[in-house]
Amino acid sequence: MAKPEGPQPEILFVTGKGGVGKSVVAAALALRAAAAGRKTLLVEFGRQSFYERLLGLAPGSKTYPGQPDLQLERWEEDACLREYVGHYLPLQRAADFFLDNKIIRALVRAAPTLKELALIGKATGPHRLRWARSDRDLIVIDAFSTGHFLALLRAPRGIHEAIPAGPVGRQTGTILEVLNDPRKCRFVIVTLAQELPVSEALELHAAIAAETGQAARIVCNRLQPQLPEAEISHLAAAPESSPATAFAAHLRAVQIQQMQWLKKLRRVDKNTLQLPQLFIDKGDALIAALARETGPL
Amino acid sequence: MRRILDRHNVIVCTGSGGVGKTTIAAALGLVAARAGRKVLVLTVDPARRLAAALGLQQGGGVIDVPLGSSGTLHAEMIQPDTIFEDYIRRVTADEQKARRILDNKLYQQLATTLSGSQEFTSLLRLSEAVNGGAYDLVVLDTPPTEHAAEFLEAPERLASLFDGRVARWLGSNPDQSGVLGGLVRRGTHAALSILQLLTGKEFIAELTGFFDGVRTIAGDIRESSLAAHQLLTGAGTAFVLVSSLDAAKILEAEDFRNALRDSGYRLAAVIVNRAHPEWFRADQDEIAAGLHMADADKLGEMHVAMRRYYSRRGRAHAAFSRLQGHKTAVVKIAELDDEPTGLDGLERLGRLLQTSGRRGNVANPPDAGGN
Repeated sequence: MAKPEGPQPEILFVTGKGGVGKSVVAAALALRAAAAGRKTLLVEFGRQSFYERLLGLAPGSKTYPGQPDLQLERWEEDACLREYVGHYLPLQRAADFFLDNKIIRALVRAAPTLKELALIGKATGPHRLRWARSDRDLIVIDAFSTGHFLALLRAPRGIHEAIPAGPVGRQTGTILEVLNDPRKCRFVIVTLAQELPVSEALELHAAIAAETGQAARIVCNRLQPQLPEAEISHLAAAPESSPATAFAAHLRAVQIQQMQWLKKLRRVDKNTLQLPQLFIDKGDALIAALARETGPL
Repeated sequence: MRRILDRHNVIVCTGSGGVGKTTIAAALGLVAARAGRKVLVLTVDPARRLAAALGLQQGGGVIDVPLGSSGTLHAEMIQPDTIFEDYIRRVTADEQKARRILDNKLYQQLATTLSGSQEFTSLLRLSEAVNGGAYDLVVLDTPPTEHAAEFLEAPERLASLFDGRVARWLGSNPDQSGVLGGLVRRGTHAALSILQLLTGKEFIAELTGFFDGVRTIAGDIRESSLAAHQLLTGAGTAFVLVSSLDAAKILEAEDFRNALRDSGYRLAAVIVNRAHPEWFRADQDEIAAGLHMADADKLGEMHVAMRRYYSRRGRAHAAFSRLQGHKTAVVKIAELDDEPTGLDGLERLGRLLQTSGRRGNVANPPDAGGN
């Protein structure tokens, strides 16, 4: 298994609590990088494409609309496993025969660690396997949300420690090397400035550090826009409460809470990237607008 | 919602991660308890403050939630690894046999991540709680998944691993010479050779040991899966899907409803959580007029943008309602200004769930559907 030569892509895993806008932020980060001239690949996991639905693309679309430097791929566990096995068996037919066997199928179906290894093996492949070389500068992976992501991240170490010898031990060993190396691979946690997402983000940050030794970057999404303070004070001073004063009071309460939660996030990442809530509901417009708000990570 | 709670003895709260499923499950339990029923809420991974509000601890078993005046609410945090371990001990009825499975390195690696094991153990615990007869209602908060439908497939996925045939092929046979020896059918023999080539003999040795242990309990696992399936399809069980208002979640809800229907389950309600902020329930024209009167121009602009945005989302909700049949209630819940992590918050959420239910439909803000 000769390692690939030459520059290899940086890998960016994007994770976070479900419902915080992880996928949209991952796309915005990828779009921003591509616009800055980096050849970028945006990867999503699973059987169904979220981006095709969000962007209204034809099934199997390979390029992000309007940005030729941004490619799209969807990685499905079974296909990753098939690809991997195919490289070690002389014939694709042999790989298909193997994976289609009833017993092997039941094993693969129920033992998720195998599928997780297939996914994380593919993600780290460009740094480990000559046949998996990539022409990209950056691979942004819209990975699973917290719990499932940690299972994904922990799979190689778990298996490596259980079975350090043999092909499985060797493969998982090289995966671990890539995951622990901040020059090859980095992690981004997306969160909201709210109690539950923040506490989950902080736990996830600690878990990623424990697993890889890396300090994940934090993106705080959907922050309420800056308020016109003078107008708010003026309304707050009104003698009687009305729907308008209640509205203003709500926005101010949200702002105060946000500042508190942001402070906690800054304790683990002082350069926490702040993204505003945008009141846009069309997918492509939302991603483009968010990409403009995104600095380089 | 009250009617659904009154008429069933099992409520299964499903939904993908981040929709507020655990909080809704707890609030539903609280509503039923306040109505005088003896309720148990089973949850997998509650947020810390919610756990604190309910008095839950890892491995703490069933606890009584102090409600003051009326109702009995109990809660328990399910611990998949210990339940599965207890289960294995019980069905093997032999410490040595149990240890053969539990001490296996692969089992230890897989126990917590084994696909479907969390779901399977949740269902085991649910069956126990229901059959024990100590509660009028058990609310199950299902383990977090990327997609709601995964919960339904999980027990079957686990059962297929514990299928006797798989264990026969992958376990060692005492009459023959190791896992790959003997007169196995040629196809499987070849496939297993490839597995050894790809993974190495160390991996195969652990795998063999695992399935040697598993073979003894395969029948019990299948039986338990079947019993759980019967409980879930029974007339006393209602499914509730907790969702949010974005396009992806609406498509997911549609997939989930189809998956439920195909498997013979009943989807009693869809709860659209955090559909809009609380201020959006007020008269929006009045807010606009008030801001205008106060010369709050910038706030006025913000209000226009936000109002338009949440109105559009309201229309997405109308599409949601259409997708549901007559037998499914659709309940829309506002995003509370404070996250409902304490008992007070759960009471408020419970009241919202009930008011929506009583009207039989959703109280739309005056301009939802407009611009």
